[in-house]
Amino acid sequence: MVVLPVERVEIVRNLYRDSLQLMKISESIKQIPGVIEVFIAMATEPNLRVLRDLGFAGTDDLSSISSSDLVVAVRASSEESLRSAFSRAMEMINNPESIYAEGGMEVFPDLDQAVAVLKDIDLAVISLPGNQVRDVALKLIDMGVNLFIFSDNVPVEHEVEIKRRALERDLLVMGPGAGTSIVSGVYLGFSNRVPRGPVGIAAAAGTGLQELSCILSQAGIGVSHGIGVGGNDVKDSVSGLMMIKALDLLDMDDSTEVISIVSKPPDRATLEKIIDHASRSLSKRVVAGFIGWDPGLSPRSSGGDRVVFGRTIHQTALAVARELGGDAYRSLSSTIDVGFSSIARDVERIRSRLAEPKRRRSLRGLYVGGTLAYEAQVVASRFIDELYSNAPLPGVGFLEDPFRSIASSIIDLGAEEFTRGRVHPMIDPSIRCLRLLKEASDPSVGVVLMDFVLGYGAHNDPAGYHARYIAQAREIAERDGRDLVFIARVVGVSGDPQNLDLQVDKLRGMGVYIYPSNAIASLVASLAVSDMDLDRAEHHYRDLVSLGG
Amino acid sequence: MAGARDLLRKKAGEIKIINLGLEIFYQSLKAQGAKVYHVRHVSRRLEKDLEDILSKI
Repeated sequence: MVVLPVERVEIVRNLYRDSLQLMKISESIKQIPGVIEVFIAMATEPNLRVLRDLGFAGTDDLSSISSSDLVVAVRASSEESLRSAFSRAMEMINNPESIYAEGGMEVFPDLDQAVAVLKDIDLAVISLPGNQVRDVALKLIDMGVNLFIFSDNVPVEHEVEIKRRALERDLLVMGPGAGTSIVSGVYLGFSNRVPRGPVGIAAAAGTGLQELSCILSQAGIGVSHGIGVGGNDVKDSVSGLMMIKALDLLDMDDSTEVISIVSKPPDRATLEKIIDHASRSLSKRVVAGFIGWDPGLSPRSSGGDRVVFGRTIHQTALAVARELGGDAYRSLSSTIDVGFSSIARDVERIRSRLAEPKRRRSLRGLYVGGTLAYEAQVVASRFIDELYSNAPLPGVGFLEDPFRSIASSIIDLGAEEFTRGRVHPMIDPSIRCLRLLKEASDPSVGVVLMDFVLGYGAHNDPAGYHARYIAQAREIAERDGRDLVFIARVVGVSGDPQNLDLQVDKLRGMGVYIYPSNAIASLVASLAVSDMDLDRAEHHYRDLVSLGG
Repeated sequence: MAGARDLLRKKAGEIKIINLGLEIFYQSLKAQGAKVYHVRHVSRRLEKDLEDILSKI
């Protein structure tokens, strides 16, 4: 006798729990024997899309519920498991304090009590709502505390005021909007446990800092400090206030030999300011990776001979290694430069897989890292004419409906439209996995390109989580007589909590092509779906990922 | 208390950190062995705003 699963969906009106709490509850419920699927989330639009995609019955019309309601949906193999799961879920939802075990936590009830007891605080990590940051930040600065501000949505006038006040007191403000920083061996926000070493990084791009530090670590090249200043810092409204400070600090730092900048291209005036400062005021060599920016386009921005540029993070890493001298460049290039002939072989192999039964030309990039999605576009736009993104760089089409890919699309799944009321896909990959199944159903899709970001704060086993969805996506394609190719970059190091080797082995075991940088992974993926002759493609390779271009 | 330059000269274990907001950052710093203290700064009614922050991770 076939036993069908049973399921239940309940709406709890006007009850708010944060998405990290709800994720923890879901994980706990999934451990109950017989539980097949669990969905516990606030009823925001992105979450309701996920609920429908999970196929729960009766969720077609959810017009009566609002984002202040909480949805609990469970599918189980028996009524008993379903009852047990629901009972436990509601118990945890009604007792949110029980979700986080506080044993051993050193907690202060408010800031005043904390500063009264703790003397000499060096650094504050702030992830408060953006409109609350100013008052707390100014108070801490006046007490001589450096800041790492993870919060986004801090009004730009507040950011300028905070940063100016900090500069008057010789303090460092990382962020607002700083995703990653590494200060004296302390890994802040979402960072990888890269070794310490001679490279100082000033970054206005969180996953850019992660990618650069992880590429360097493949040759054992470590990082002295990685100072994330937040994406707004390099806009003309903030004019690089903390980027300049970070460069000065790294220039004075005894453990830093070479300085690197990683950022999307800054606004014009700020770009000139940063390059002028780096070329005239610093004593150390600087490698600037303004991703996708071509120094040839701006005659004033030559940077003299003290600043060199990289178009991709891969190229920036190689330039850093060359500036370090000694064995560093040979060591890194032998590790990450796979060579164009090797890339061409992979591309030909993939193209032949995509040729039957009907040539498939669409690439779908599903990214959790915003900077990595940006870099993928820099590469893919060289080979693919019809390219779209929800966060397009100039020249790439804007994807009107971010939930539906067209032609070749590169999606930043960390963008606001996907994360409202949800934790970021770097922590909870479920939204990407469901999107993957949708992409697999599109008969034009040949290649899926993805990033797997490891490190502190990220999901504890992203490769393992994706395994069943990759298998399912393949099954969907195979039912249609199609083959689906997966290409990925794993951003991580051996010291990360997720175990880099294990993650790579799992993905390779699923037949996923893994490359040593996002730029190369993007190059292979884009070339595979394009018609470009491989002889013509080689100069793009040199231009984007080697120092020969 | 350390000026910016002094902060970069300290050893990891010497840096005294307070965390205001998401507990995930406290947990992560604690796991590294950092000297970190959590400050409960946000009232219950503001938790929803915190959600917006979380979504920016």
